[in-house]
Amino acid sequence: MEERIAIVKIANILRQMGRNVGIDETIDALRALELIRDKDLDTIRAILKATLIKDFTLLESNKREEEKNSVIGKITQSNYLAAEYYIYSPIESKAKLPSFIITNSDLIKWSKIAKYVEEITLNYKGRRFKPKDKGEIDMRRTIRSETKYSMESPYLLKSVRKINKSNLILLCDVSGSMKDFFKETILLSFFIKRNIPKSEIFHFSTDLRRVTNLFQVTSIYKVNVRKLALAVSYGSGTKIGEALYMLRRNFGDLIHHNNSILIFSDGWDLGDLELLDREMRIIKRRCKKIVWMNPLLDELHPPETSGMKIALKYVDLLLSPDIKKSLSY
Amino acid sequence: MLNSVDELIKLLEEQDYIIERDAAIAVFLALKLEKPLLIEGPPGCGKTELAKVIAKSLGLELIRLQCYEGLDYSHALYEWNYPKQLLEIKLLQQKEDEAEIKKRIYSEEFLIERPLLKAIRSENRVVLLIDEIDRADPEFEGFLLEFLGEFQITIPELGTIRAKHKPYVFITSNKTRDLSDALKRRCLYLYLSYPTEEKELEIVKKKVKGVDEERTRKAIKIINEIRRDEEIIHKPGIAETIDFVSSMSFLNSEDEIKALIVTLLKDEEDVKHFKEVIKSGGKNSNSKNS
Repeated sequence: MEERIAIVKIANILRQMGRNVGIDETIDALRALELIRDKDLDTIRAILKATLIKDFTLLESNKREEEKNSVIGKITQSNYLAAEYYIYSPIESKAKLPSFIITNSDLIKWSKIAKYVEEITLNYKGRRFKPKDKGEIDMRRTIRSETKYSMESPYLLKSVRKINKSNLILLCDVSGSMKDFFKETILLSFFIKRNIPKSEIFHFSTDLRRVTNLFQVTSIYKVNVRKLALAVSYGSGTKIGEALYMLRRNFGDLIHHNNSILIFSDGWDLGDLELLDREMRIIKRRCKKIVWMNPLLDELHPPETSGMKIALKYVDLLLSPDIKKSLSY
Repeated sequence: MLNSVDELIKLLEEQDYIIERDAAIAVFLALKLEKPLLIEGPPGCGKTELAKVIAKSLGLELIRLQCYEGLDYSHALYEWNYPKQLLEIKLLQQKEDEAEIKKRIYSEEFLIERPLLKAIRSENRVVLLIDEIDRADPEFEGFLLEFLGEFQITIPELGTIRAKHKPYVFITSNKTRDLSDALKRRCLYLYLSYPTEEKELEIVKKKVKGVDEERTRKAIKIINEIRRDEEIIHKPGIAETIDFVSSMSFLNSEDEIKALIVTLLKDEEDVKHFKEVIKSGGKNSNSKNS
C-alpha cells in the first residue's frame, strides 16, 4: 500500500513540475509494480522511467554525475554538469509567473520580424537553375534548345538560380536577465512556429528544453504560459555554452547543413566561455547559418558582453528586434 | 509465456541480443501490460533489432511499417483496389442495381491490407514494428492514436475492426522531433543508449565468431573514445563496431586505421577531425584518454 501511495505522490510531483502525467500512466505504474516480484530500488526506478517519466532529457540527467569526470569535465573548470542544480520549487516558479499584455501592435511587429527572419535565414540560392523570363541569359539552355531548330532560333533563354529552403532551430534565452523580454520570447517563438511549421523551438536558462509542442497552437492566447515557465529550470544563471552543448548532445540530428540556428538572447553568460567558444565553433561548422537576435542591441548597448564577444566570431548575422536598426550591425 | 524479467533476458541472450536489466524491465512490462513500447535513442544502438529479436524469440511474425515523410493511411492501413472495383462495376452494371453494386465493391474482397490492418486482422499474435516514427508527419501520429489506444481501426465503409489478438507494438524514434504527448501517453517508454564497454564486448563476441579478445577489447576502447569525442557528431553505433571488429580479422595492423575510418566514420567533417587527431599523435583536447 505504501508503494502505491508513493507512486501516486511521484505522479503528482511530476505534474507540478509541468510534465504531462495522466491517470492512465499512474495506473500503468501501479500495474507494473504488481507484475514485478523483486522490488529493489533499481527496478522501481526502471518501472518509473518506463511508465511515468518518458522524457530522455530527464533520464539523461542521471548520467551527469558520471560525465563530470569524462571529456567535458576536462575542458572546463566550472563544475557545470554537477547533478545538484538549484531549481525553484514548483510553487516558487508559479509565484514568479510573469504577467504581460499582448497588444495588436505587438502581434503585427513580431509577425513581421518572424517573416524577416524567415527571409534571411531560410531561402537561399541553390546550385540548380530554373527557366525564368526575367533572369540572366542561359547560354547552355539556349544552345541546347536551338539545336532543335537548326540553330536559327532568334530567342535567348533566361534562367535564375533555384531557391532552396532550409529549416530553423530557435533557441530562446529565458534566464533572469531576459525576464523583461518574456513576452517577446513567446511572440517570437509563436510566429516562428506558425510561419515555419517544421521549425524547432528550444528555451534555455540553466537547462535546455524542447518546447515546440507548446507552440503548436492556433492562437497566441492558447500558449500555455504556466507550462512554459515551468519547462526550463532556473537557478545558476544563463549558460549559453552548456545549452548549445545540450542541444548538440541530445538533439544532434537537428544540426545539419540545411538547418539555420536563431539565438534570441542578450548574451549575458555566466557559464564557461571556453565551452561557449567550442560549441559555437562546432555548430557553425555543421549548420547553414547562425543568427543572433539581441533584444538589447542599440547604440547604448553595443554587443560587448563577454558571451557576445565570443559568439560574434561565429555569428553570420546579428539582429535587433528593431529590423531597421539591425541592418546597421 | 514469460514470467520474469530474468527469463526475458535469458531468452534474448539465446538470440545473441544482450540487454541491460533496465531495458529488459521496460520490454517485460510492455509485453505483460500489452501496451506499445516507444523506444528512443541514438542511431545504431539496437532499437529496431530489439523488436526483431523479440519476434524471433517468441516465435511470432514480425510486421514492419517503415515511416517516412508523407506516409499516409493508404500506405499504413488499407487501400481499396480501384482497378478491381472498376472492373467489377463494369461486370455488374447490367445485372444488379446501384445499391447492390456499392455494397459489393466495398467488401473485404477489394480491400488491400497494409501493415497496421494486417497486424490487427492476423489470426495469431504478431509483433508490429513502427520504425522511425519521427520521420513521419505529425498528422500521422494523430491517425495512429486510435490504433495504439484501443487496438482498433475504423474503416468508414466497413465499420470498426478490433484486434483479435493485441499485437506487441514497438515504436522507434531517433528523436529528430518531439512526439506528441497523446502518443507518449499511450506507450511505455524506453531510452536505449550505447552499451558499456563490457556489454559491447559481449555483444561483439556473440555476433563475430573467433575474435581475438584482447584486440577486440582495445578496438572497443577506441570506439568508445570516438563516441566520447565531442567534435564527432555522428557517433558510431553497435553495428559499426561489429563491422570494424569483423574487418580486423582479415586486415593487418597497418590497415586497421583505414578500416576504422571506413567502417566507423561516415561524415566528411568527422573523418577530417579524426585524421587531425591521428596526425597530432592522438592528442585531442576534447577526448579524455586519446
